[in-house]
Amino acid sequence: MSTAGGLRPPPNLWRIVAFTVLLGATTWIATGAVTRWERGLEEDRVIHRALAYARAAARLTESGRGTPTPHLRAFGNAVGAAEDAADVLRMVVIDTGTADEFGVRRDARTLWALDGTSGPVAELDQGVADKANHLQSLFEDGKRDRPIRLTQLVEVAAEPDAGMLRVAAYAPIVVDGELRGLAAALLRLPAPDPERPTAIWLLALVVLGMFVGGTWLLPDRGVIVTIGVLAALALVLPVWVPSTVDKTVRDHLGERADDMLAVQAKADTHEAVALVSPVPDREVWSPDGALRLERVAGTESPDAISQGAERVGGETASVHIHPDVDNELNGAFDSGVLGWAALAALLLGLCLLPVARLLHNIRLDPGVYTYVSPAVIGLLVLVIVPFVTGIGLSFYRYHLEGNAYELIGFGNFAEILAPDETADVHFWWTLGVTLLWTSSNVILHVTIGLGLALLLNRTRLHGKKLYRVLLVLPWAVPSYITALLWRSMFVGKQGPVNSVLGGLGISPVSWFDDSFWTNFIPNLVTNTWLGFPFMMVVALGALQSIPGSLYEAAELDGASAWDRFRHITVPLLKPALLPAIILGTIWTFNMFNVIYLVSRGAGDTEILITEAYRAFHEQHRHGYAAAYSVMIFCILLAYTAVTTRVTKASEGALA
Amino acid sequence: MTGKPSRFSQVWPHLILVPVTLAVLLPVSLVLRKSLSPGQGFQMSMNPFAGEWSLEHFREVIGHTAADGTWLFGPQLMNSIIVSLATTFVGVALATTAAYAFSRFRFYGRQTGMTMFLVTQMFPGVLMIIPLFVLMNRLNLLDSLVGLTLVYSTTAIPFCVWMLKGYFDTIPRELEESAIMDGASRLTIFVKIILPLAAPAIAVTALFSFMTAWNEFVLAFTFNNDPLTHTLPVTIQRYADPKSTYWGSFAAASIIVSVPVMLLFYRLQRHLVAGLTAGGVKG
Repeated sequence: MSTAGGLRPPPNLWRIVAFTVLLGATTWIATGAVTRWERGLEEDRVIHRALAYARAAARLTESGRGTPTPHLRAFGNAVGAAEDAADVLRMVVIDTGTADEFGVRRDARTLWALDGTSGPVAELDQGVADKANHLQSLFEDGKRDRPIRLTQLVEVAAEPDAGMLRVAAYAPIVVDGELRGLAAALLRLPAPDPERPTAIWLLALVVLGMFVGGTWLLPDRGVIVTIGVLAALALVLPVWVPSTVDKTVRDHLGERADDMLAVQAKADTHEAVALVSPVPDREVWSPDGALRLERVAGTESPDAISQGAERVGGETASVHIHPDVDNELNGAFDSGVLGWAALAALLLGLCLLPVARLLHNIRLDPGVYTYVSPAVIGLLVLVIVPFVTGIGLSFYRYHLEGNAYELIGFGNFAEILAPDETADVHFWWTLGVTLLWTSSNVILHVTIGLGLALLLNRTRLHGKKLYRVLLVLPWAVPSYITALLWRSMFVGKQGPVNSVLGGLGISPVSWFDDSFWTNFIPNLVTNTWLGFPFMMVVALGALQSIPGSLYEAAELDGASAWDRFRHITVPLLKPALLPAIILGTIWTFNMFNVIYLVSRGAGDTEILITEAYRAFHEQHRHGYAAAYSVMIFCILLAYTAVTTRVTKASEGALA
Repeated sequence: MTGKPSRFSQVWPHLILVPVTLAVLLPVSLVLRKSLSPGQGFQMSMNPFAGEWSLEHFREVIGHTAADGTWLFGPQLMNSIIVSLATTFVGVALATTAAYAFSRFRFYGRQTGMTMFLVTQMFPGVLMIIPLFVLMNRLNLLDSLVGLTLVYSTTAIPFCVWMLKGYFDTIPRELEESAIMDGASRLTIFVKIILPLAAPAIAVTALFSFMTAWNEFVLAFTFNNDPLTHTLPVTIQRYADPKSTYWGSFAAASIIVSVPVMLLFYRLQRHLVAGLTAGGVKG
């Protein structure tokens, strides 16, 4: 309260000090960021290549059930031809041998190496053997079911003398669920150019100009500035994200580094694709906790791959790694990055103003802010930053082949809003389904909830407590369990739902076929079962807060039951029900579990959120999915803005 | 409501309430029955009393181990408990303080802050998974319970703040003003006066936070790779995988997971109504 008038500009001296500090900090951070970014990009590229090589070598050894195949040699030749010999330090496949009763591994052998050596593990490969032992212990030390993360298989080390970076990537060779060996690729990359003086000074200059301009020209435009900052972050953060996405996310989500190799190979010869399976293995989970790799049915078996290689085989087999592909893959970032950085700096400069003001206020009255800051900081880091990054992603197109992000502006939105003929699901259809889904659900929730609440609120009702206890039950059951349960109840001619229908004289329905309604209705039933208790509890609470004397007075005045409901109950329920309805609408609009688990989108019953999830998770169209999510967000934002304005439901709360 | 009610007006509500209650109970009874019958079949029969009885599914679920014999159920149950309790604690602690400030003080950034909290409710989760994953990876919080706790707490906070703020608004300021006269500090007022008065709302907030963490599986599955760091919903979700046929185990596990939530729910049910509606009624 003490700072109600605290919007005065801070005193001059303070302004100058703050300016200097902020400018210094910004420049420092920007320098670090740009350098790191450059470095990270180069590193990622080499890590990926190394991983792809290691995995391909491992795969080719696996297809020989643990012994190197001729194709491995062909592959090695190809790699040797594609890489600068000085950059490939070592490529090796080793057999980890067998463990004796003390767990000490014996008889480790180098099965194959790029330079042709084989036999007992050479001193040169001791590091690889150690890594293999480590992997072995991960496998055996009570963690067999733990899939090995790619990050655990990569080592990046700086070679001190030459200022070079050394990257070592390993891939396990698994035959019949046993770790049999390890393929390793050790590459090295030239030290990246650490200095980018021009860019940095440009950045600093822009920040300076914007700060000066912003402070003096824009006295109080908090909203615009906030939007500007968000936009700036949205554009910049994705640049920061992909370099990390590269290393981990897509691997974790089931992708394999050898996609990249496949792409590179495809760029040159089609036959070569057969050499390294482009079809990712799929992780299949079984409840005994074991994770096994399963080839996707109907695709090339290891045999087929071998045959393909045979056909190409012999000495002519070669995989030329196209030099241009590499540039293409990451080139998207290089172009225009400076422009974006300048824009970002511009907006960053603008944002310094409210930040300065906020800091000033915090200094005046730190007590108030200590209450809020933990929650706000947590939210900022774990909700706002990912959210803004997500918005940023919607301006990019993600290329699975090569794992690159390309800035395409509003292309994703254009594609969503005006889908071409090839699109399998139309955005406007999905939007229609979503609106139908949301409205029918909310109407059912409110009607049922309010109806039950009115019944339960009757003064003389036997078993009132018992009813209440039983009726809120669906709320207490986790929603994903409810969804899975209801799906199972709809399935089958003799299933519970069809049995009940039979009891009512309705012939069994074949649920979850291709038509819309046989999929939509189960969703609706499930979500109604799930959602009415919330409305019931809210309505009941509000009803109980209405004094009974009002009704008695109305009754004395001769008001009918309907009049009493219309003129006492409804107006007094409104303030409690409206926020609940708004919240319920938002929740239903984003109700992922039910659609995803009950109808699974069959019969075109996808709603926007599940459609976005599928685009992200199944089609790997990250940018497109993000654009979808942004649309969802905008729709909900507009809905809330309109409803709150019209009903003024949360007027008091927002003030 | 005055006067002697007729026999009919006593009976007809039950004509509606009984079928609705049955509709609510039917799925629950079916899942209970499934969990107690042998076999993993997907089909459920209508008659809850026919057929054999068996505890095998409960034994299976509780004895769930990894391929090499590591016991998974126990650690996963502990994970669920730890994460949920920690989320409750962190979520409630942060939400009460923030809601108190939003309710009582006028400060620069207040309006923006409140709007921000409301708007976060509209973020589609899909939008967050990739960036969150990257962030957690940077902070080295993958495969850890701390990471899950942090994410869950921040997910739960906005709703809790809004609800608590609504409730705090209904507590008369005069109480605090007189306490200030008596020389109490802000912190004393907050701890000694506001918190006890807001107990019902805080209980609901706690329940909400707990359920958020206890029931979540998408993030838990995405962030934590190691089965030893999984929470129970991840395992349950997999029992019901379209490719697998472990419906008996699914039913048993569902019951094991739902029971604690239900107990808490019913324990706090009294407060639920007061907590949920106070904010709304006041508007």
